[in-house]
Amino acid sequence: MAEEPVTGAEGALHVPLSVDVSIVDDITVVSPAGEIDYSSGSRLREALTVAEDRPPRVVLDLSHVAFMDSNGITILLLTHKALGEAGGWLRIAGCTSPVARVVQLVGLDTVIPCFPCRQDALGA
Amino acid sequence: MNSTPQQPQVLPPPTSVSAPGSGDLRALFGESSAVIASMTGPTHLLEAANPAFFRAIGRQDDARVGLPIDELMPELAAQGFVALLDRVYRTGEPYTGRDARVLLGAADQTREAFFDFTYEPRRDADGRVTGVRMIGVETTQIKQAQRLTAEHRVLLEQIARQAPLEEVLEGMAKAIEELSPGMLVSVLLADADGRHLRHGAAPSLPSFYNEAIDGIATGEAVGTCGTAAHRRQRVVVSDIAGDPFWEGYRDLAARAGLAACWSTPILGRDGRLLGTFAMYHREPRAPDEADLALAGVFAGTAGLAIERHLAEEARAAAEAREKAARDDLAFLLNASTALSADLDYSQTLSRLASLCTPALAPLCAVDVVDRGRTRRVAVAATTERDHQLLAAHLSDAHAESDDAVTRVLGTGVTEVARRAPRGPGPWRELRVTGYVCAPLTERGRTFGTVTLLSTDDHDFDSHAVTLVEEVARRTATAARNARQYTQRATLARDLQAGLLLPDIPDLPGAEVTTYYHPAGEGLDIGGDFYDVFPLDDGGWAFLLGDVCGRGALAATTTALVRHTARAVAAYLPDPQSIVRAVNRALLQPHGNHDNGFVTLVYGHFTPAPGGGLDIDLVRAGHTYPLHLTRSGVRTLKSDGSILGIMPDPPLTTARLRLAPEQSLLLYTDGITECRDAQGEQFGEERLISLLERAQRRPPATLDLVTGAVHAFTGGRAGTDDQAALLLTATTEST
Repeated sequence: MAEEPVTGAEGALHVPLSVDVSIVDDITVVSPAGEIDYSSGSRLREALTVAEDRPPRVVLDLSHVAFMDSNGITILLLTHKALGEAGGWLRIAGCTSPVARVVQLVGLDTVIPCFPCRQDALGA
Repeated sequence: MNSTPQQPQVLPPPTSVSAPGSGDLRALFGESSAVIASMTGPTHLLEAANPAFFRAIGRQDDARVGLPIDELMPELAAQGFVALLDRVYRTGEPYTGRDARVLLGAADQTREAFFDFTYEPRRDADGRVTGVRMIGVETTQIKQAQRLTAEHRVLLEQIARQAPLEEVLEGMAKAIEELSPGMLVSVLLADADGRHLRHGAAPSLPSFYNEAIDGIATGEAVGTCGTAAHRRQRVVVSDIAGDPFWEGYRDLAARAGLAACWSTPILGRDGRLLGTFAMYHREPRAPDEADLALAGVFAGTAGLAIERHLAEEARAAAEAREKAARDDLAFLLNASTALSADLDYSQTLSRLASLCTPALAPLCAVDVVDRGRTRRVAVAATTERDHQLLAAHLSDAHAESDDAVTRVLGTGVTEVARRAPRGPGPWRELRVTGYVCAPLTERGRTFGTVTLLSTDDHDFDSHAVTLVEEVARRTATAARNARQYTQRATLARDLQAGLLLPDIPDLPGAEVTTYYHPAGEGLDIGGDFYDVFPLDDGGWAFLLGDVCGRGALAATTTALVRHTARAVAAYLPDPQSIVRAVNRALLQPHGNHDNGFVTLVYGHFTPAPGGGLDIDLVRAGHTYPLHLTRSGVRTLKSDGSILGIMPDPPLTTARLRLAPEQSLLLYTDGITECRDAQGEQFGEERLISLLERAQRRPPATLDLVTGAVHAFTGGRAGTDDQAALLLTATTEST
């Protein structure tokens, strides 16, 4: 599912992000794969936009995300806010270690519930 | 054909006006009849001859029967014909000549003629030769027709080749004059409305005559040509001296030695009058069939030449118009590109003035209304002197009521005049002869004018006026965009300036160095911020933070954080409560507040007894502060969450002492998240190892960091702001 690496806007080589969206038990499951940064962020933001055809309850499965920087943090916070206003919520699952680090730095886990894996997040 | 009629003869128009038609050629040679002459005896006495013979030899009025042939026609002997007659008489052998050339007529009236003829012996009853009979057919006309055809073909070729009309007409006139010796040819060309005739070609007529005739009106009784043009029919005047059509021109004709004039109108294929073709003679004469046929053929050819010429002119004019339109379009496209290229407002208007000069006019001035006053913002001229004169023209003059700029500003309507502007100004020195003043209007409001001035070397045409209005329209749009951009950029700069400390104040026992590098330019305002301010208890507050996002909204958020901190620090006892206050401020609904997520490090420092600084700080979701000591770098990992999301974020307070020459480094993630060409991030590890390796005294430490970052990214622009604050405890002596 991962695409060929391309040269991004800064001339940097990074793996583009692919995002899978599915609906399980009336919960939207968003599973990005790759790196979340300035250039790929918009794709993730699109997938997390509150939409008519998707329940506003979202589990974001980050187990295939190798890297996330402050751009990703902003996206998650905005999503958290938007989903809350739409009567839903955001949960994070499967933070890999680089992602966990930035989540803890910012204290994101005090704002958005984090779970070790998707199943836990769905079941909670 | 013999007499000279007093009344001009009006003959029917030629049957065809294109190529020499068969009718004309028949007229040229078909009518010729056989000539017969009977001679008797050794002296070739002329016994009998038919009228055609006498006509052919040009002795029509003396029917000279009974004379020896060489007395009747002395010219024959020298040409060998008498010798031929002798031979036939002597030998009894007939002689046949084909296309034999003979010069007939007396010395001063010779005409060249060609005959197919036979000399045959006349015999008596006994078979003895008694004389010679001549039977012949004149082939002169055929010869002439052949030559005519050849000439005609040459002319048609010239026309096809688009030789200049003058050349064609002159060549035609000369060819006809050669074909008919004694005839003088003139071609006149009608002007577009068919009311006047102008000189076309008349190679043999005197110039004074041609000049006098040039421009005569077409009309009944205006000479032969005027009448022929008016009637669109051939008109013949065999005797100018007695003819009423030549009233007023008789002396002129007499001076030019012209006695007869036959004129054939030249008509286009649509019947339009193109001109006249005139044949003049020096003695009164009426035309014969051959003359009329000749006139018909050449009038037709001339018509072709003239039509071709007019079509060519029309085509060239259309091409010129099209080219002018293309040039206009190219000018406008270039103008638009030039105007939009520059986003600076005043440069856009200067560009307008220079675009208009000298392309549209030698002088151009652009005025705008600025805070109620009219101001000349751009001037362009072709010389330095003119430029200064125009630029120095006082804008006070705009207070005059009779001033084009004022009027156009008021009405929004272009004003054009073929005189200098009335108000005071350097119009005489600049030799101004006219002006166009066009409005610069945007959203219905005229905010300026562009004035073009013409001088006595140049003049406006109406399309220049249209062009300047179009350019003015495009400029108004470009200027609006430029102004908005300039205003926003100015706003951004002001905001930025308001956000950042202009100078770090003098601090007791401490030194603060800062680094700030926003990612965007112009409109983009950074989301990074820092501040240092005094506290009531003698200590100082310091902070560095990062708003998630960019642009004007991020700017208002950074302002909110800084001002809130400054405001509440006087009332709240410690960093944590101040940070919570900031958090509450962030959570309050604001106007167009998109996001107010803020990461922050906020702390207080006070000089410690015995040197160094005591520091209490709170880290709210921000990068870990780094404690730089001589033995290494320590990361301060205190807990604390990002602000602006929850009402009661978990926060902790960290405490540390900075010994003299130790530093605390705060930085934003724009530094650690910048990427190199391969996409790898700078990272915290690299930063720490860099700081550990190189022991520098501050502020060199910051230079070290920023230099390393710059080298790492290869100088390429990043997408995030970068900021750093280095707080160093100073030693007593510094």
